[in-house]
Amino acid sequence: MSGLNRRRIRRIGVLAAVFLVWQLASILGLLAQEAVPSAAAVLGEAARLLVSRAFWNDMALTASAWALAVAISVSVGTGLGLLIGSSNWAHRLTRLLIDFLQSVPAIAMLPLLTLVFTANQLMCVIVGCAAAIWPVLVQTSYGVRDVDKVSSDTFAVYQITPLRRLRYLVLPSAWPYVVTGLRISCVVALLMVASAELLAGAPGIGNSISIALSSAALPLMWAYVLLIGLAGLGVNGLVALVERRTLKWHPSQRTVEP
Amino acid sequence: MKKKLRIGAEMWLPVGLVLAWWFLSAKSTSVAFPPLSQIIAAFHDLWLFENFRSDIVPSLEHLVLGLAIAATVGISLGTIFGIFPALYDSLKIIFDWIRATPGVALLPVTLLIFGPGDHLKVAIIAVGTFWPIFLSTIDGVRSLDLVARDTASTLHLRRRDYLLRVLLPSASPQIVAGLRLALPLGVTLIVASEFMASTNGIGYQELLAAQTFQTANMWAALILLGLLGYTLNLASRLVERRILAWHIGYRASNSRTAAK
Repeated sequence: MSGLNRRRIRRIGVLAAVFLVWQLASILGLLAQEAVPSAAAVLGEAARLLVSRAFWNDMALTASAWALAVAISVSVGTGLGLLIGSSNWAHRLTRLLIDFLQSVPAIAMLPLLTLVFTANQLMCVIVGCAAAIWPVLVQTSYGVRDVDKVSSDTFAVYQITPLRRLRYLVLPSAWPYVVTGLRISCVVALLMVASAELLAGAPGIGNSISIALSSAALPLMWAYVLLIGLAGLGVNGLVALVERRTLKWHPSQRTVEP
Repeated sequence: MKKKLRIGAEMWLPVGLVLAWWFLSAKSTSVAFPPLSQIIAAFHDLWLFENFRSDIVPSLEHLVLGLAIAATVGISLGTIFGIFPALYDSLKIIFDWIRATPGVALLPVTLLIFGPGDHLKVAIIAVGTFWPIFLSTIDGVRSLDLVARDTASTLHLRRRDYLLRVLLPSASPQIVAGLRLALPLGVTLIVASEFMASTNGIGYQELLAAQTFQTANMWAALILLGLLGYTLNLASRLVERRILAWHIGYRASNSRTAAK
């Protein structure tokens, strides 16, 4: 436990050191003031944002669009992945199409979406889903196809009902794959939501970044960028939690005590 | 013959969907969804090969240059940080933070530092695609087989040989995986940078067409980007198969013995 604490203290120390070096570099004039404001100015703005209502409004918009995009992607993606993965025929029929659709950069849909919708949260959710559904779908169908042959035959011999087969064989063996897809999807969904906000003007943190940029409020803009990174850290933490909770039994999660 | 049949079966759905799109959109008067025939005509006018040099070539150039920088820096730094885990652990919080920041949010920052222009696009791609390459290189280097490492040190391999013949080959599956992750991210970032600050490129043409309501042109650019993403994905898969043929073969033979 003390080792963990020590490590945490060291990490905070490193973080403080980086900001200190940044501040010193600004004072010494090593950083162009018109591009990189001083660390103190940025952190001051960030602190001010953290207690402001407007920031949490933005954060709620971004977070809800992200959560909705992930929820839709995961439910539709696992559903379709299960269907496609469990039939050789469906897999063959859809392979080329899915291959193509998943390599279309979803961000290129933004101009189309701005024509169809106004720049709003719906747009963020759609573009988020357009990118985030594929990792879950593809990983799930891999996972379903990777079910152990012997177990599968055993289930068939004992004539276990399809629903139980799904619950006790297919889902458990596909789950590590699903979680891998989920991890990618969560990151990609945040990227797309932020893109829709920043490039197409949907309300949220991304949009606040571009407003701060165009009004030349540099410390504010940097503060927003730092905070959206913090939101990203939160997303990663959440995924790690899901992994730990639901994959306890899986070898990849076992840690060896030193 | 069998292979032909299989490809035929796989083509059926995409072809059917394109046909459905063609017929459903044929009489369309909607601004956002013009008939497919118009889109194809626009595709032909724009990209074959009117704007090839002025827009496609710059987009690809920036992409390749940015990825090359990211790969060089990412693999070398990744190797160093992989060899010294303590160094990596102490800086991990900074890496995690920057990596967790959506790449597009770094666009305004890079814009301020590098100014608008071509080097901005190269910079944003290099900065954004650096992270997956860097982190997976670290992973690869750290997962080196202990027996291989000890054997190398017992044999007193020269450092150069150790690096080039033991460490990097054993890390190469992860490095290639990182590169394959970086590629679609690079395409996304080049489009984003062309939406934001640009006067050429496929993304710029798409945005311009949308803003002037020339939606057939917009769709043509969208389709081109889709084809580009798909081609790059296929190419990277082929390259992976070529480079890692030994690794895939090794794994296949391993699992075969395991099955016995």
